[in-house]
Amino acid sequence: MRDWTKVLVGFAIGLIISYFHWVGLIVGGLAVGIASRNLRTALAAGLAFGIMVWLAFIAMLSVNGMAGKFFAMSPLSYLSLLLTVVATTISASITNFFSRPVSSKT
Amino acid sequence: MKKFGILSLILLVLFLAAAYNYLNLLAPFSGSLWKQSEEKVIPSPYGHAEVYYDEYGVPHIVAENEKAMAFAIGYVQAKDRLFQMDLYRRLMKGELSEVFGEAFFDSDVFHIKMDFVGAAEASWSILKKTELGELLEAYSDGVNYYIEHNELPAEFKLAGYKPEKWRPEDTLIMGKEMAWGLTGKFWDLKRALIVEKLGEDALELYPEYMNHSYPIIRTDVVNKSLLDWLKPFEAKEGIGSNNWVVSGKYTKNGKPMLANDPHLLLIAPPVWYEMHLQLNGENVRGVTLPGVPVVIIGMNDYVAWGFTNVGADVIDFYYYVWKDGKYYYKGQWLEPEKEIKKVRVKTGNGYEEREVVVEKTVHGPLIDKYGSKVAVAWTGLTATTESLAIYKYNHAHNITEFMEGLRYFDVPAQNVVYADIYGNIMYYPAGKYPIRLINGEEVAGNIIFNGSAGEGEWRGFNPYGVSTWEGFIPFEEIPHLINPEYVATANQRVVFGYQHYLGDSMYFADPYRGMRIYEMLDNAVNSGVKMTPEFFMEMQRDVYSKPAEFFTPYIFEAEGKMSEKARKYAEELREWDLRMTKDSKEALIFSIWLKNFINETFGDKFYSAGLDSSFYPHLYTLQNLDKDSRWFDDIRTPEKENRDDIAARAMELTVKEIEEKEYRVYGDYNKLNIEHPFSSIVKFFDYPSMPMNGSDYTVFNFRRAVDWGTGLSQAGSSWRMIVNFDRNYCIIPGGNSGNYFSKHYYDQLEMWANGKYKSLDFEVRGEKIVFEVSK
Repeated sequence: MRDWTKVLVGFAIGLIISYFHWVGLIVGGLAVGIASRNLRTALAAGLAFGIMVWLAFIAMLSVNGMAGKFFAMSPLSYLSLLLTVVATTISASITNFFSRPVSSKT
Repeated sequence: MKKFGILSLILLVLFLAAAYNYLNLLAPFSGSLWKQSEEKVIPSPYGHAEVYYDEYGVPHIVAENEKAMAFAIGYVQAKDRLFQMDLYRRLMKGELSEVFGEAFFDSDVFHIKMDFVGAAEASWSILKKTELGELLEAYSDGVNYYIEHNELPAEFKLAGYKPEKWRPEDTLIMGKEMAWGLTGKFWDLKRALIVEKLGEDALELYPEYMNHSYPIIRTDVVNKSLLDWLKPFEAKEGIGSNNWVVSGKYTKNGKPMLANDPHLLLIAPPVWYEMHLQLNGENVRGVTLPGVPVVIIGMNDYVAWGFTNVGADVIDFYYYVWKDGKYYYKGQWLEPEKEIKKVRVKTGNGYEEREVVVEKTVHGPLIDKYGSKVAVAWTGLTATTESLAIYKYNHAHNITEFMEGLRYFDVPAQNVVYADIYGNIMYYPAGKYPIRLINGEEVAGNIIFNGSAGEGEWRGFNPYGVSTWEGFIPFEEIPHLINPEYVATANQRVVFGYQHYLGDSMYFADPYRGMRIYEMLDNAVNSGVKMTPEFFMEMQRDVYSKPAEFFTPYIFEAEGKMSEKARKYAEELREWDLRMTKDSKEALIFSIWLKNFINETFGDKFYSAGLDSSFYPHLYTLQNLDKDSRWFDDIRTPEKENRDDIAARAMELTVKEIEEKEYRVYGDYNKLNIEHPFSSIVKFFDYPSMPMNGSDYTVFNFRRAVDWGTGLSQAGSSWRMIVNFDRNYCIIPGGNSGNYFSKHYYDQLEMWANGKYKSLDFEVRGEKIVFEVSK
């Protein structure tokens, strides 16, 4: 399986688990970290995964007509984004350290 | 590089430790803050019921028996308003500081000392033996089922606590809360302080009666010249209400018509919860307090009813001679009943347990005032049966059955207006009114009584027990009207010349709203045009200002003492239609001028004596002061000012305020800002702000700044209802759901603000929840 495919699988698994519990953010972060070639891509993938989960959540709120009220909850709404991306990005960095040597090249 | 991996791992662990609670609360999808109860089938031990939520989130509940109905009501009220229910329960029980911190400790001390819990338990001791007892149990079970099996509202998650189980006594304490809010006045004490600070002469501002011509029960023919002939009284008020009822003789469909809009605190979510109940094919619909399983104001298939607060004096204060911790009472030294209650208080350093000493005399609980102890007797501090009264209203088929319920209505005394499909209308200010005696003679209750001598005490009143009420005005002797042509109440004095004391002028509202309602009804009757629900809507939307009618001539008279700019502003009022509309500049000028005129008249005398604006007399008193009254003299200046000087000065201040704050029209100043109890912490629960019509004194009632003792809040029509039995209408200020993410959180707000209505009907419709019999 190509690396980007693995990253996509990590995205999907993380998103599905995140729907039920925030542990999915950690699992997804770990998964995309393992699949990444180096620390930089791992961090980028972790960040992207966090943003994607959060945007998927916003999309669900929009469908339910709740997005406007969610954003009115500032700063709680943005704290939710911050928590999400920090959780996924740190998680992604861990597995990358353990799985591959750090390299600046892709 | 593994060491960096370990560092990342440590970082993640630290992050999770710090953010664990926040992730549980705010994580996308799974955060508890976003979760709402989705249960569609609920097991009920009491029988089958179905709930249909309509297009405004109003539950229509159909049940096979009363207990199944009560269980379903408990469930839906918890689903929609659980936090509000728990908040008021905590307020009355003195448990706010446990959750919200020590800033609420004083509130807890007061409520614990008053022992409202003891009063609710006394009520339960007699109600549990009535037909209501089992229903309150079933209702509590419905609330508790929700608490145990469903998502709690967001407020609980943010505050980090779970509500305790609901008990029938908690429902009764909701009634005590409303009753205290309407009748628990400390005017007798304030009056004593005014005398102490400003002298006996100051009582001219607070006469026994306000000399106006619009009591609820009118004994004279009213015309315009009488309207113009208006003398002393009535002014500042906190909360009030309007209701009126008209005989079918004057309506288009030939049936009686009834209107009601209680003016209460405007808060998110609203004070009232709307529901429709259908049992054995019979309907009742209207509003209740969250926590109460019966319709408090509303209609059924046969009768309709509405309330305003009578405002009568149903609270008294007693002082004693004290020695060695004992008080002297009718020849003996008695030990006050003493109990130490513990309060759990949340502080910056964790939880603390504090003690509150609850003391009671034969008259009631003791509170500290002026460094001495004063006992409080309040009609709500005994077993009362108003919830049974309301239960009987819900089931009444005719005026006889309704009146049977009226007899049980103890507190807060309410101006009840009634109409039925048979053409009857009625006005009855139901409630318990104490008769005070000193040496066998009846006296007014606006003084502090000598408790040691047993003066002014209420015969048959047993605080925290069961009262026999023999020292109160008998039900039959309460002034009332059966089948008048029409009657209107707006918290003004019930009647002039009544044999018993009901309260001095400070217990009743300024007469302006009452005047205006009677004026509109009189005009309609005299014109011969039959009244319709649309006409009642116009009345409820009416923003004509009676104070503007009486006070603008004072402004014009003072123009000679104004600067050119202030005179220009005053001149703008010449062509004004006297309506407090949001797009009116004249309403803006008048409203700010009136505020300044009141402050400039009384502020110097009152504030220098240590009395704030809550001690000011009624606006109607100010209106009727002589032009050269000493109250217009500013004691800070060597000159002697009169009304013109103060009116001119008020206009100068008005110009300054309008220009500094860049107000253009009344709506820039008169804005709706309905806040949630969490408003000081987070703003998102608050309702959207918008410019408003109306004022404190207009029938369309909106009070932009009411001093509630804990800061300024807003008050106004908390429920508008119009009934003519063919087409009925209603609206609440916000939405029926207290859940922030619900589409019914404030879906009625704009309609309410603009004086629009929705149908008040008995059609069962909407999204369904089923309660199935559980084994």
